[in-house]
Amino acid sequence: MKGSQAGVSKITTVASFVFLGLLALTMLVPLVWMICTSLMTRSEVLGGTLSVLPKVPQWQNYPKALTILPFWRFFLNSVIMTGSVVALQLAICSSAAYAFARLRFPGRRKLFMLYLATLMVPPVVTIIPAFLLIVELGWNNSFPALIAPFAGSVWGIFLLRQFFLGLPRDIEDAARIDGAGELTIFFRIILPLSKPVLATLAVFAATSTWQEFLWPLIVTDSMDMRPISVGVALYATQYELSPHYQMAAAVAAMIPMLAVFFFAQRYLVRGIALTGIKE
Amino acid sequence: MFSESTHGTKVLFVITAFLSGFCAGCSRRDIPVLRVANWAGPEEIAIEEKNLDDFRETHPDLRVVLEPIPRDYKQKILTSVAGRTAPDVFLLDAINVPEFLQAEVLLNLKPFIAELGVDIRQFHPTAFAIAQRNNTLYALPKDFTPLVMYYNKKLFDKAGIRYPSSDWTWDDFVELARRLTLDLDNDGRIDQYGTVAQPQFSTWAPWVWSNRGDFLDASGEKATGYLDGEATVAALQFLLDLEKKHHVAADSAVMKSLGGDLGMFLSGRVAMAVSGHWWMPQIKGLTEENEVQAGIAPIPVPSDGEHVTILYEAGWAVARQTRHPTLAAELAIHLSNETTNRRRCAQGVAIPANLALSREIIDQDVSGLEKVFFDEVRFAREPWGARVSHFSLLEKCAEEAFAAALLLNRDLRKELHLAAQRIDAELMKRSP
Amino acid sequence: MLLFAFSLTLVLAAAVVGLAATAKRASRREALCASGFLLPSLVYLGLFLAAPLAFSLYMAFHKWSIDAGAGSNPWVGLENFSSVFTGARSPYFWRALLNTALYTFLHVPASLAIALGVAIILNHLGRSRRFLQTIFFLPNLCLLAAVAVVWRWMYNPEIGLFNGLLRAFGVDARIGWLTSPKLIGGVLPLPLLSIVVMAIWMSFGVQAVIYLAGLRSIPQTYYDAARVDGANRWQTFRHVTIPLLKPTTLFLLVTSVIASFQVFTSIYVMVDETLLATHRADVLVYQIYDYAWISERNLGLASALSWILFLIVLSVTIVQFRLVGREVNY
Repeated sequence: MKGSQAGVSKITTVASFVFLGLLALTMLVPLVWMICTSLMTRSEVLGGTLSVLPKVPQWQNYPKALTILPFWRFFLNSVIMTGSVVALQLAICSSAAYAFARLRFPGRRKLFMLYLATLMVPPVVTIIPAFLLIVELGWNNSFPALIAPFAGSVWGIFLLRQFFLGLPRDIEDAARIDGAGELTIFFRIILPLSKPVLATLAVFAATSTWQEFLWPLIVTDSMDMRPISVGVALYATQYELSPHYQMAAAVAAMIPMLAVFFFAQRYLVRGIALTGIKE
Repeated sequence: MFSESTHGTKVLFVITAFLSGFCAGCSRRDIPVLRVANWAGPEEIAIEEKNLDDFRETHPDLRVVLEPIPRDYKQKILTSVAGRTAPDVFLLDAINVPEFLQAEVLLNLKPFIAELGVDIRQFHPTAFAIAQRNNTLYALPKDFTPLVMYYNKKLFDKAGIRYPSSDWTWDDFVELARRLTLDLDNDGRIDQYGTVAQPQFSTWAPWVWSNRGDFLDASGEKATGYLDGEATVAALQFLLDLEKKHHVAADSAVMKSLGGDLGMFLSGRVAMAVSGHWWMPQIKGLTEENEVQAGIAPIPVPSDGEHVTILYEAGWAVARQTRHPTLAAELAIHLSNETTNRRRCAQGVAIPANLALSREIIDQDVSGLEKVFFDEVRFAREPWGARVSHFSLLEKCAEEAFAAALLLNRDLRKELHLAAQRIDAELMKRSP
Repeated sequence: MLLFAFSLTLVLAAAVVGLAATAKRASRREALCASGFLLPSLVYLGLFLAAPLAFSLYMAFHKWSIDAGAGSNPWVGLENFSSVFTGARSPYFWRALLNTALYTFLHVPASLAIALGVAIILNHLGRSRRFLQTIFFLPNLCLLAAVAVVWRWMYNPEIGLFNGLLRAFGVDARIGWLTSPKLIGGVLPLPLLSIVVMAIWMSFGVQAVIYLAGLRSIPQTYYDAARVDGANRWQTFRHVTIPLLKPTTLFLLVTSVIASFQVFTSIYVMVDETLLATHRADVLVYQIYDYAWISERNLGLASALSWILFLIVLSVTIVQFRLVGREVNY
C-alpha cells in the first residue's frame, strides 16, 4: 500500500509542477509582451503584423517616456498616497476586526452584517456625493482627497476578523486572567501573532491603491497631484498614440511594486508557531 | 517587525503626508491662480506650456497652471463645475456648447472683447460663429476642421489607379474600394481593404447630408421622419453595405487594438478613410519616414447629391464660476491669438482659426493638402451638437441602431425608426 | 452634504456607543472597550460610505439630472425603480442581470479552485515558493490600463496571440474574442467569456496568497493527529484542511461574488464599443453607468438601479452565509 501511495504521490508531484509551470507561463507572457512593446518604434507597434520581438530594441524609449511627462512626480504621488493608505488601513481594520472577533457587545453580529453590507454597494453611484463632500472639506486636488476615502476597508476588516477568529484563545485567556487590559492583549498578543495576515492586508491595500484610477482622476486636476495610474493613461490620448511610451512607463511603474512585493513576501506566510498549546 | 516602533513610524509618515498636503494647499492660496484645462497628449502639453509661458511673463504676479484631462473630458469638467472647482479656462468642443450653455456654466465673453479691444475679424467667420448666440459669445475659437476623405497614394500607385477626383460619386467610391481590396499574399485572406467601417456618429453627417437627408427637423426637436427618413436610411444603409454587401470595408472590430482606423490607415491596411485634420500630425511624421503618402479628397457625393461636409471646432471658454473673470478672459484671448496658434501649427492638429495664419500655412504647404482642407470649409455645416443640447441622446440612439444592424443583422430601417421614436419620446419628457 | 455627512457619522457613533452602554454590567466594560476599537472605522464608514449611500438613496426617489443647472430635481417616488423593471430600457436590464449572473458563476468557482490548488502546491514547496508567489501576484502589480492593452492585443482577431496559437495548430481562426455578438449556448456573449478568462488570470494569484496564509495557519498538530489516526492524503485534505479553511473560503467566496457582481471597468475598457452599443454584453454596473452618463443622464435612475443591485447582492451573500458560514469554533 505504501508503494502505490508513493507512486501516486510521484504522479501528483509531477502533475502539480506541470500545472504550476503552465500557470506561471501565462502570468509571464503578457509581461514579456509589455516589455517588448516598450522597446518598439511607433510604426512597429501599430503595424498590422503579429510582431512579438522588436526589430531593434529602442532603449531610448525609456528615458524619453520618463521625461515627456512628469513621471517621477506621478510616481511620488502614488508612493505617498499608497503609503498613507496602507498605514491607515492597518490601524483602522485591525482595531475594528479585533472588536468583532474577540469582544462581546450587544448587536455585534448585526453590526458586522451592516459593515459587510457596505461591500455590496456599487462604487459608481457614491462617487459624486463623495466628491461633493471632498470639495466642501476643501480637500480638492490634495493628498487628503486621495487618501481619506481609502483609509478604511471593510474587506480588510472582514479578512482580519476571519483570521482573528481562527486564533486559539489560550494565550489571550491566560493573559486576561493575569489582568491584562484589552489594549495590551491587542498590541502584545494578537498583532504579533497576526503578522502574516497583516502583511497580506498591507500588500493588498498597497496594490489596489496603486491601481486606483477613477477616483484620482476625479479629485485631482493638476499634473503635480496625479498618481501614476492616471499618469500612464496620459500617454495615449485620442490624437496622440504612443503605446510604446505608454508601455515603457507602465513597466517602469511596475518595478518598484515588484520589489516591494518580493521583499514583503518574507512576512507574508510565516506559519504561526504554536508550541506548547494543548490540543 | 510589527513592533510599536514600526507602528509609530508609520503614524508619523501619515501625519507628515497630511501636513504636507495641507501646507501645499495653503501656500497656493496666496497668489491668484488661473487653471487651464484641455485634452492634450504629451506633445501638445509641451506646446501649450510654451504658450502659457508668454502669458506668465506679462503677468508675473499670477500663477497659471495647465491641467490636461486624459479621458472623459466632458464628464470631468461637468463634475468639477458641480463641485465648484471648475478650471478658469477650458477647451470646449463645439458639440458641447449647447449642453454647457443650458447648464449655465459659461461666461459671456462679449463684454471683454470690446473692453480689451480684440479684433474679431482675425478669426474665420464660420469658426467664430459656432460659439456665438445672438449678442453673446461663449468661446474664442482655437481651431477647426472639416471632415474629408484621406487616401493612401502609395496603395493607389501600386494598384495603378488614378487618385479620386474632387467630384467623385458614391459609385466611384465603391468601385475604387473594390479595386483596392486585395489579398496580397494569396492566403485566402484579405490583407488590404479599400476602406474601413466607421460606426461612429461623428463620421456620418456628410454622407447623410449629401444625400439630402438629415437627423432632426429644422428646429432640432423631432427625429421621426428624419432619422428614419428615406434619404437618411439610404445613406446609412450605403455605409453598412460597404462592409456587409460589398465587403470592401475592414471590420470595425479589428480596429480597436490596432490604433483604431488611424492605425489601420497608417499601416497601409486601409486605403481610404474619413477623418478630420487631427490625423495630420501622425501622418506627417510617417510621410517623412516615407511610409505613408497621404492624399485628401472631399467626401464622395451621391449622384445628384449635394457637396457638403461637417465642421468640428474647439474653442477656449471661461467658466462662469471663475474668481478672476477679467484675467481668465484675457487668458482665453491670449490662447486664441496668432502667436499661440502659430506654435501649435508645428504639430498641426487642426486649422487655426486665425485667418491670416491659416492662409500662411496654405501658402507654405508643399503637399497641397492644407488647401483642400481649407476649401472644404466652404461646404461645411456645423454639427447638430453645436445647435441642440440633447445631441448625446441623438448620437447614442443612432449608434445603437447602427450597431444592431451591423452586428446583430437587424433591419436598419426598423432600428432607426425605433431610435427615432425613442428620441422623440425622451424629448417629450424633457420639455417643460 | 458636509453637514449631513458629519451629523450622520455622529449619530452612528453615538448609536454604537449607546448600544454598548446598554450591555449588562458584567460585560459593559468589554462592550464600551469594543466601541472604542470600532470608533475609527465608524468615522470612516460614516463619512465616506454611509453618507454618500444615504444621499444616493435620497437621489433614487428623484429625477436627478447629471447636468448641472438642468433645473430642479423633482420627486418621482418609485418611478425610477419601476422603470428599471418595466421601462423602455428594461430588456437591457434583464440581459445585464443574466450576463452578470453568468459571469459570476463562471468566474468565482474557477478562480477559487485554481487558487486553492496553487496554494496547496505552493505550501509544499520550499525556497522556490517566494519566486513563484511573485509571479502569480504579477497581474495585481500592473496598472489596469496596461493590462487592458495587453489582453486586447492577445484577443485581437488578426494579430492576436490566441488566434495565432490556434493557427499554429492548423485551425484557421479569426475569432472575435472581444467583438463577436455570438451567444454561447444561446445565452453567454463570447466577449464576456473572454473577460472571465482575463478576470480569473487577474484574481487567482491574490486568492492563492490568501489561501496560503490560511493554510499556513493551520497548526501542524491537526495534521499530526490525522496521521496518527491513519488518514491518507485525500482524507486529511477532506476532513482536516477543508473544514479548517472554512473561514478563509467563506471570505474569498463572499468577497469575490460581490466583486464579480460589480464588474465594470474591464467590460467598459475591453469590449468593442460597437458591441457595447448593442447592449448584448452589458453587465449591471455598466447599466448604471449608462443611465447616469449616457442614455438617460439621470442620477436618480442610476441610484435606483444601484440600490436594486445592492439588494440582489445582499440576498446572495445572506444565502452564502447560511450555506457555508456557520461559525467555526475550536
